[in-house]
Amino acid sequence: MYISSISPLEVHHEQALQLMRSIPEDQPFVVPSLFRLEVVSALARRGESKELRDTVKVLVHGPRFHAVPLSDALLENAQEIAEVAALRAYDAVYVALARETKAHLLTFDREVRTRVSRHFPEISLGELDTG
Amino acid sequence: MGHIDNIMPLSKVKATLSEVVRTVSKTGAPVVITVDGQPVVKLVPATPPLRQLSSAEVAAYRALTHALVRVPRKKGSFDAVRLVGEGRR
Repeated sequence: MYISSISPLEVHHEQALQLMRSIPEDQPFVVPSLFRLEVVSALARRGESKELRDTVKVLVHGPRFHAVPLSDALLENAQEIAEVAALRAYDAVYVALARETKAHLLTFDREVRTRVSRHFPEISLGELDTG
Repeated sequence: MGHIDNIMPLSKVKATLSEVVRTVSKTGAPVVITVDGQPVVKLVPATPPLRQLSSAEVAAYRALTHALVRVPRKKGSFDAVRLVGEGRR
Protein backbone atom coordinates (compact mmCIF):
# COMPACT_ATOMS: atom_id res chain seq x y z
CA MET A 1 0.00 0.00 0.00
CA TYR A 2 2.73 2.46 0.94
CA ILE A 3 4.83 1.71 -2.14
CA SER A 4 1.71 2.21 -4.28
CA SER A 5 0.99 5.55 -2.64
CA ILE A 6 4.45 6.98 -3.35
CA SER A 7 4.79 5.55 -6.87
CA PRO A 8 2.82 7.42 -9.57
CA LEU A 9 3.35 4.60 -12.07
CA GLU A 10 2.08 1.86 -9.76
CA VAL A 11 -1.21 0.32 -10.86
CA HIS A 12 -3.06 1.12 -7.59
CA HIS A 13 -1.40 4.49 -7.02
CA GLU A 14 -4.45 6.77 -7.07
CA GLN A 15 -6.47 4.52 -4.79
CA ALA A 16 -3.54 4.07 -2.39
CA LEU A 17 -2.94 7.81 -2.31
CA GLN A 18 -6.59 8.50 -1.53
CA LEU A 19 -6.59 5.90 1.22
CA MET A 20 -3.38 7.17 2.81
CA ARG A 21 -4.70 10.73 2.66
CA SER A 22 -7.97 9.68 4.30
CA ILE A 23 -6.09 8.81 7.47
CA PRO A 24 -5.37 11.80 9.75
CA GLU A 25 -1.76 12.83 9.40
CA ASP A 26 -1.17 12.73 13.13
CA GLN A 27 -2.14 9.05 13.27
CA PRO A 28 0.75 6.62 12.84
CA PHE A 29 0.60 3.55 10.64
CA VAL A 30 1.35 0.44 12.69
CA VAL A 31 3.84 -1.74 10.83
CA PRO A 32 6.12 -4.65 11.68
CA SER A 33 9.79 -3.60 11.75
CA LEU A 34 10.12 -5.80 8.67
CA PHE A 35 8.11 -3.19 6.74
CA ARG A 36 11.04 -0.79 6.40
CA LEU A 37 13.24 -3.48 4.93
CA GLU A 38 10.54 -4.60 2.51
CA VAL A 39 9.89 -1.07 1.24
CA VAL A 40 13.54 -0.25 0.64
CA SER A 41 14.19 -3.68 -0.86
CA ALA A 42 11.27 -3.34 -3.27
CA LEU A 43 12.39 0.12 -4.40
CA ALA A 44 15.92 -1.16 -4.96
CA ARG A 45 14.64 -4.14 -6.95
CA ARG A 46 12.52 -1.78 -9.01
CA GLY A 47 15.70 0.15 -9.80
CA GLU A 48 14.64 3.41 -8.18
CA SER A 49 17.33 6.00 -7.47
CA LYS A 50 19.37 6.32 -4.31
CA GLU A 51 17.86 9.76 -3.83
CA LEU A 52 14.39 8.26 -3.73
CA ARG A 53 15.42 5.39 -1.47
CA ASP A 54 17.22 7.71 0.95
CA THR A 55 14.18 9.98 1.24
CA VAL A 56 11.88 7.02 1.75
CA LYS A 57 14.22 5.60 4.39
CA VAL A 58 13.91 8.80 6.40
CA LEU A 59 10.13 8.66 6.06
CA VAL A 60 9.67 5.04 7.08
CA HIS A 61 11.99 5.48 10.07
CA GLY A 62 10.01 8.50 11.19
CA PRO A 63 7.12 8.66 13.67
CA ARG A 64 4.40 8.28 11.00
CA PHE A 65 5.32 4.60 10.95
CA HIS A 66 5.04 2.92 14.33
CA ALA A 67 7.33 -0.08 13.89
CA VAL A 68 6.64 -3.07 16.12
CA PRO A 69 9.57 -5.44 16.67
CA LEU A 70 9.24 -9.05 15.54
CA SER A 71 8.84 -10.46 19.05
CA ASP A 72 8.41 -14.12 19.86
CA ALA A 73 4.75 -13.44 20.68
CA LEU A 74 4.10 -11.74 17.34
CA LEU A 75 5.82 -14.54 15.44
CA GLU A 76 3.82 -17.18 17.34
CA ASN A 77 0.60 -15.41 16.40
CA ALA A 78 1.79 -15.15 12.82
CA GLN A 79 2.56 -18.85 12.80
CA GLU A 80 -0.98 -19.67 13.94
CA ILE A 81 -2.42 -17.35 11.29
CA ALA A 82 -0.20 -18.81 8.59
CA GLU A 83 -1.38 -22.31 9.49
CA VAL A 84 -5.07 -21.49 9.69
CA ALA A 85 -5.28 -19.30 6.58
CA ALA A 86 -2.43 -20.85 4.60
CA LEU A 87 -0.77 -17.47 4.25
CA ARG A 88 2.83 -16.77 3.36
CA ALA A 89 5.08 -16.12 6.36
CA TYR A 90 5.61 -12.42 5.63
CA ASP A 91 1.90 -11.81 5.04
CA ALA A 92 1.02 -13.63 8.25
CA VAL A 93 3.21 -11.22 10.25
CA TYR A 94 1.23 -8.22 8.94
CA VAL A 95 -2.06 -9.99 9.61
CA ALA A 96 -0.98 -10.95 13.15
CA LEU A 97 -0.05 -7.35 13.88
CA ALA A 98 -3.40 -6.08 12.59
CA ARG A 99 -5.18 -8.61 14.79
CA GLU A 100 -3.09 -7.78 17.88
CA THR A 101 -3.52 -4.03 17.55
CA LYS A 102 -7.09 -4.13 16.21
CA ALA A 103 -5.90 -1.97 13.31
CA HIS A 104 -7.22 -1.97 9.76
CA LEU A 105 -5.18 -4.19 7.47
CA LEU A 106 -4.28 -2.14 4.41
CA THR A 107 -3.32 -4.30 1.46
CA PHE A 108 -4.12 -4.63 -2.22
CA ASP A 109 -3.11 -8.28 -2.19
CA ARG A 110 -6.32 -10.05 -3.23
CA GLU A 111 -5.18 -13.44 -1.95
CA VAL A 112 -4.42 -12.05 1.50
CA ARG A 113 -7.73 -10.18 1.60
CA THR A 114 -9.68 -13.27 0.59
CA ARG A 115 -8.00 -15.57 3.10
CA VAL A 116 -8.19 -13.08 5.96
CA SER A 117 -11.86 -12.33 5.40
CA ARG A 118 -12.59 -16.06 5.28
CA HIS A 119 -10.62 -17.10 8.36
CA PHE A 120 -10.35 -13.93 10.44
CA PRO A 121 -13.50 -11.90 9.81
CA GLU A 122 -12.80 -9.82 12.92
CA ILE A 123 -9.91 -8.13 11.09
CA SER A 124 -11.05 -5.02 9.22
CA LEU A 125 -9.83 -4.83 5.64
CA GLY A 126 -11.57 -1.65 4.59
CA GLU A 127 -13.30 -1.14 1.27
CA LEU A 128 -10.92 -1.36 -1.65
CA ASP A 129 -11.30 -1.90 -5.35
CA THR A 130 -8.64 -4.56 -5.84
CA GLY A 131 -9.63 -5.46 -9.33
CA MET B 1 4.35 9.45 40.69
CA GLY B 2 7.72 11.07 41.34
CA HIS B 3 10.09 12.45 38.75
CA ILE B 4 12.03 9.93 36.68
CA ASP B 5 15.31 11.14 35.15
CA ASN B 6 16.58 9.97 31.78
CA ILE B 7 19.89 9.06 33.43
CA MET B 8 19.77 7.33 36.80
CA PRO B 9 22.28 5.56 39.04
CA LEU B 10 21.63 1.88 39.66
CA SER B 11 21.04 2.50 43.36
CA LYS B 12 18.16 4.87 42.58
CA VAL B 13 16.71 2.50 39.96
CA LYS B 14 16.72 -0.35 42.49
CA ALA B 15 14.78 1.78 44.94
CA THR B 16 12.18 2.90 42.38
CA LEU B 17 12.16 0.12 39.79
CA SER B 18 8.37 -0.28 39.52
CA GLU B 19 7.93 3.44 38.93
CA VAL B 20 10.78 3.52 36.42
CA VAL B 21 9.27 0.64 34.45
CA ARG B 22 5.82 2.26 34.45
CA THR B 23 7.22 5.57 33.24
CA VAL B 24 9.39 4.09 30.49
CA SER B 25 6.48 1.95 29.32
CA LYS B 26 4.08 4.90 29.29
CA THR B 27 6.30 7.59 27.79
CA GLY B 28 8.58 5.51 25.61
CA ALA B 29 11.51 7.63 26.78
CA PRO B 30 14.52 5.45 27.62
CA VAL B 31 16.33 5.57 30.95
CA VAL B 32 20.09 5.11 31.00
CA ILE B 33 21.33 3.36 34.14
CA THR B 34 24.77 4.28 35.44
CA VAL B 35 27.16 2.36 37.66
CA ASP B 36 29.96 4.34 39.30
CA GLY B 37 28.87 7.29 37.18
CA GLN B 38 29.28 5.44 33.90
CA PRO B 39 26.32 4.61 31.61
CA VAL B 40 26.09 0.82 31.32
CA VAL B 41 22.49 -0.15 30.51
CA LYS B 42 19.58 1.50 28.70
CA LEU B 43 16.03 0.61 29.71
CA VAL B 44 13.61 0.91 26.78
CA PRO B 45 10.02 -0.25 26.24
CA ALA B 46 9.65 -3.62 24.53
CA THR B 47 7.19 -1.95 22.20
CA PRO B 48 7.19 1.85 21.98
CA PRO B 49 3.82 3.36 22.95
CA LEU B 50 1.54 4.28 20.08
CA ARG B 51 1.08 8.02 20.06
CA GLN B 52 -0.22 10.86 17.90
CA LEU B 53 2.33 12.81 15.90
CA SER B 54 3.11 16.35 17.03
CA SER B 55 2.39 19.21 14.64
CA ALA B 56 6.13 19.52 13.94
CA GLU B 57 6.32 15.80 13.08
CA VAL B 58 3.31 16.10 10.78
CA ALA B 59 4.91 19.07 9.05
CA ALA B 60 8.18 17.18 8.58
CA TYR B 61 6.34 14.14 7.20
CA ARG B 62 4.36 16.33 4.81
CA ALA B 63 7.48 18.18 3.59
CA LEU B 64 9.38 14.95 2.94
CA THR B 65 6.39 13.38 1.19
CA HIS B 66 6.08 16.45 -1.04
CA ALA B 67 9.82 16.26 -1.75
CA LEU B 68 9.32 12.73 -3.06
CA VAL B 69 7.18 14.09 -5.89
CA ARG B 70 10.18 15.93 -7.33
CA VAL B 71 12.47 12.88 -7.33
CA PRO B 72 12.79 11.29 -10.81
CA ARG B 73 11.31 7.79 -11.07
CA LYS B 74 12.06 4.78 -13.15
CA LYS B 75 9.77 4.63 -16.18
CA GLY B 76 7.14 1.93 -16.73
CA SER B 77 4.07 0.86 -14.75
CA PHE B 78 4.30 -1.89 -12.18
CA ASP B 79 2.31 -3.77 -9.56
CA ALA B 80 3.68 -3.29 -6.02
CA VAL B 81 1.96 -6.46 -4.75
CA ARG B 82 3.87 -8.47 -7.31
CA LEU B 83 7.11 -6.56 -6.70
CA VAL B 84 7.02 -7.19 -2.94
CA GLY B 85 5.95 -10.80 -3.48
CA GLU B 86 8.91 -11.41 -5.75
CA GLY B 87 11.19 -9.90 -3.13
CA ARG B 88 10.00 -12.52 -0.62
CA ARG B 89 11.02 -15.50 -2.72
